[in-house]
Amino acid sequence: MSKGKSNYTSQLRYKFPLPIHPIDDLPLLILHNPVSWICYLYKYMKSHNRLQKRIHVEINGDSFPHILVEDQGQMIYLWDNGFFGTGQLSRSEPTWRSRTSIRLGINDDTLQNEQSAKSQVALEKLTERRRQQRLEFKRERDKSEKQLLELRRKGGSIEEEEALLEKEREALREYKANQLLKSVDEEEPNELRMEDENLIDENGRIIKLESLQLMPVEAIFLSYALPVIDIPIPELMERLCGGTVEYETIHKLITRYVAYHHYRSHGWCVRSGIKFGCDYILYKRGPPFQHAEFCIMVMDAEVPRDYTWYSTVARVTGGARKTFVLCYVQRLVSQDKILEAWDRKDFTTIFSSYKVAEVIYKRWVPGKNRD
Amino acid sequence: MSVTIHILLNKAADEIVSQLVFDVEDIKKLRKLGICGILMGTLPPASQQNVFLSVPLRLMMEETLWLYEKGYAKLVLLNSPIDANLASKVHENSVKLSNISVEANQKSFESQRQYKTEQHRRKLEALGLLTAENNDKTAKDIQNNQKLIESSLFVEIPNSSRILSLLDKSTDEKDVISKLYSNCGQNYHIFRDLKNQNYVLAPGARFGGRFIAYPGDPLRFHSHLTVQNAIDYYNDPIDLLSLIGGSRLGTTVKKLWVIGGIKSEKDETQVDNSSTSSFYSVEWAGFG
Amino acid sequence: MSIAIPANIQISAGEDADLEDDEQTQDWSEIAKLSRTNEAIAVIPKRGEKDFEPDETNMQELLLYRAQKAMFDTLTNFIRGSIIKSQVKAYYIPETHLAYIPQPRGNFMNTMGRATSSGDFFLQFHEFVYLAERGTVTPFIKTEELDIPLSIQDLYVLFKDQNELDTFAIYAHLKRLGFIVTSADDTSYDTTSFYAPSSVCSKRSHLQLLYNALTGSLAQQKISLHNRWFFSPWNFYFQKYTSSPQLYRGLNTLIPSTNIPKTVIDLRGTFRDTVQNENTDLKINFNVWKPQTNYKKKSPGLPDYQVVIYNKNDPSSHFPTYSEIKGIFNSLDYKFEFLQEGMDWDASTYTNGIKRSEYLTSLKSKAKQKKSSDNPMNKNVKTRRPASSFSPQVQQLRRLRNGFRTFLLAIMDDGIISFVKISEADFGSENVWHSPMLHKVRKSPFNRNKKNGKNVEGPQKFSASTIEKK
Repeated sequence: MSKGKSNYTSQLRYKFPLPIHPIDDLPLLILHNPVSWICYLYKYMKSHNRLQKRIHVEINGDSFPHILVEDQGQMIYLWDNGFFGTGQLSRSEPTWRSRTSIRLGINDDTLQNEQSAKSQVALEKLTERRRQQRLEFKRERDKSEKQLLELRRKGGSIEEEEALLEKEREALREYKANQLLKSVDEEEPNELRMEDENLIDENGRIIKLESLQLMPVEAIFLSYALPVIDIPIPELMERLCGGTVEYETIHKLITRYVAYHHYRSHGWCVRSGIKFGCDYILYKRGPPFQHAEFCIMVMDAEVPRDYTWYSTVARVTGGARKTFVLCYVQRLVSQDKILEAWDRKDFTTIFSSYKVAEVIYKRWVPGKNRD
Repeated sequence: MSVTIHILLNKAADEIVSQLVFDVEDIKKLRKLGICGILMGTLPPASQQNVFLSVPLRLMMEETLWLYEKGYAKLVLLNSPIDANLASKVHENSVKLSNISVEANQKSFESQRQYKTEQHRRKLEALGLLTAENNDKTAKDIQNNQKLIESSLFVEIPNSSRILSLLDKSTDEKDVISKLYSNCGQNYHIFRDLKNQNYVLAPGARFGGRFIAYPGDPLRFHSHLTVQNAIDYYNDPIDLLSLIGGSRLGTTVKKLWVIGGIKSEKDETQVDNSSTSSFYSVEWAGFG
Repeated sequence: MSIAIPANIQISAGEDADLEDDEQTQDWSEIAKLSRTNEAIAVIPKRGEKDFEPDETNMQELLLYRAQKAMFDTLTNFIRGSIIKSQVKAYYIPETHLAYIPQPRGNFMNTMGRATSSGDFFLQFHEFVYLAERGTVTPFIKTEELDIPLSIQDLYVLFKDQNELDTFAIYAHLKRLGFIVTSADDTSYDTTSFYAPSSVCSKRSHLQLLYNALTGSLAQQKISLHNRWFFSPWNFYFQKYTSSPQLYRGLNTLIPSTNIPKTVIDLRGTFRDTVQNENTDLKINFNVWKPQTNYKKKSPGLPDYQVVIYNKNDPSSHFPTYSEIKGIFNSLDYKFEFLQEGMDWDASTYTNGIKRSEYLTSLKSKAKQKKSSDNPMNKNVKTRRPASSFSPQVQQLRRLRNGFRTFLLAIMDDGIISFVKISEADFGSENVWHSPMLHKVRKSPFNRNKKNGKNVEGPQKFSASTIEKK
């Protein structure tokens, strides 16, 4: 579904912004009614915010650990409650299973995000068609450029060239218009490929192929900040950084986590900014709702980068109508203190020993700011 | 052909001030060599905009080095601050300088007078007023016009200097050249190698690179490449995030993101045009 | 034979001002035509007429030849200078690096140059070069008996260093677009400041600092304790959270963020960097005013922008670090655009140590006899919709997008000038979490703004230290 369109289902589906839910089903408390007091207290004592079962996470690989959630239900839970992680076989939301079942025409009751999958399939088809049309258009354009070159080689005059140019521009405009008119819902029959056989198990169901991959900082958040995944934070950190550490090894991870936690804890949905050449992008509620507003780059407070880099990211983010924010993370205590705390597994001290400061970087055009 | 480039040295800060060219004929020559530079002076009748500018032409250090290496430029070195030296030389040569400028002005005035008188005469002729019977009237008219011409004579502020040739020159050419080399570093090598492939290079920071490269004169061609700062071909890592951002920018502004470094040391016996740098380009796939 | 055009012709370089020159085809043929007529022509650079690559055709050569000819004809024909009767002579003074104008006249005097108490009119060096290039003044150097004319090349050679040359280039760039530009360190006129003279606030600020220190450290203790608890394994066993905001509030005490000034009171309370940090060369170079007709040179009030210059190819300089940027923020003194709208600048700023409104009244009383053509309102001001008329959500987004204290960074890249707006921002005091409707589920999602209006939190002052470390 396109952004911004929210409906009943999606409001229900994305109801909670975090994987830890508040206790929101306490009975109404009627102050002068002692029975309601009892009901209320009973419910209150029984309820808790903790998850019934922690989400299981596998960590594969040593130098570049992949943090994976493999259970289908848990993957979708993490997506629906805060948009954590990326499906390894999807653009972001883990919809491979649903999309494949649609493609192969298999009905599967266990699929939970069928709605998203349907719209994503449609989107994929549209993107593919557009790409195709662009290629075709470029071929047409190449043809007309060749004609122009022909004319030049033959020694045509400038006026002739301009006339031909105008004619060709007109032709190309027409071509493009025709492309747009072409029917959008050309249903191409889905053909089963050889490889598709391997996707179906003995029971006629689609096998489990896709996992949800978490960024290291997301995993830290879901272990340290909120008790969601089943790996305790000391073990997670050791898997990510190794046993004994130097400050240089952990500096980058800590500063990036500090920034991640900072934005998450103020309500933002923080996702990878790799598409824009930066560390994170911030969504107000999440990808299905609105486009991201801000691109964040975590910066060292003392070491500046080359100007070319700033200019590049600013132009890319500006072109996508996002605001480019430099997030400076400053260490408030000595490196040794950090290492001490690391040895003690005292991550609270570590993270709270870094301070963030933000600077907005925007291209400014004098011609447009004269009044 | 040779172009004179004046280089101002600021010894106190150990810096070389940007090299500027003031003579339009020199600028023409440079353009033929594929050195286009950036014009930075106000263009008088269109002085409220920044798209079209006039002399001086500002060169990049790499451009100056290249011209010097190829023998196209003669360097004249001056030490900054120059005002004391300039003032004293002017004082010494005041009469000569004054005469030269007065003479130049007179020449200019004379040709202005001639031109404008001729224009006026043609106007009268076109109006059919140059007949014998109109002699008195036209004579008066011409007289009035002369007055007009006198009061509208244009005094030129010359672009090129008559004084610089008199100033004390520095002889630290070797130092200057080596300082330019060290400032440019490996960027000079990739500049030279691209130049040898007939690209025209210009400053490229606003497009996310050190240079942008045109396949010919910028007046006729769009630039195709954004060239990054040179890296150590064998040892420097390329930041993946920069690579992604840069190549995405390249797709947006329709220029290839190019990165390069020195692959082999230049062999003394090799012909000048051989390339020692190696380049790679990166672009986003799937954009169609 | 060169013919000069006496009139100053306005040319609009096209509305696509943010397209870089490279993307606009530089078509000199329009400007070259000016040499034959006196009419002003709107020059809108055309797009897309360049070739993709050399094709070795005669046609291409011809087109290139034409384009080059137009350019070089323009450069050759449009000579600098002025008509003899409107010539204004300016004499370079080597000892002071200024230019003296014995008989000053012209519109430029409204925004440039300075007259001393004895009535002598001087130009700063960059003003001198700018006006000489335009032909508004004719540059000379005086010897005992003779006036020796200077060429443009002579003027450029008199720049002392790269910094001065770059500063001049950026100065000229902004001037050509109509802005009014003065050097930030020019104190020869009655300067206006947002801040009261130091004598007024020092006593107050010491007490303030002490108070802040005490409350700050108490707050810090409290936060540490909270963090210990929240991030311990026992948190969710003993504590129950009944709303998402509660969870968020528990989370967001962990990372300290920087407090920045957002209101008049904040600004007046901040520690000001009036002494330049010795470790850096970075400083404010220019004060800039938007084009306006009622600029008072003697006392122009607070500037609209302040500009810092950075030459990216200078091996000895680097892009500003955070502490350098912070240093600049702390020394900014301009019309802070994030303060309330309709702010009466005259009542809130100080000129020469006294309130500007008083200063202006005293000026007016002196000039009572003179005919004043002062327009208190600048007619060109765009009437903008007041910020407070937007919903809290939109206001919050604007605060985040625009930031607070701002300066312009002018980047010089071997002759190409770009500008960047650097603004202070504070995400740590804006909360954007969405609280789901607990009991009602709306069937129609269309009035999202109203629903979400409830959940927008106002700015929270929350940081571990309220005192800025320098």
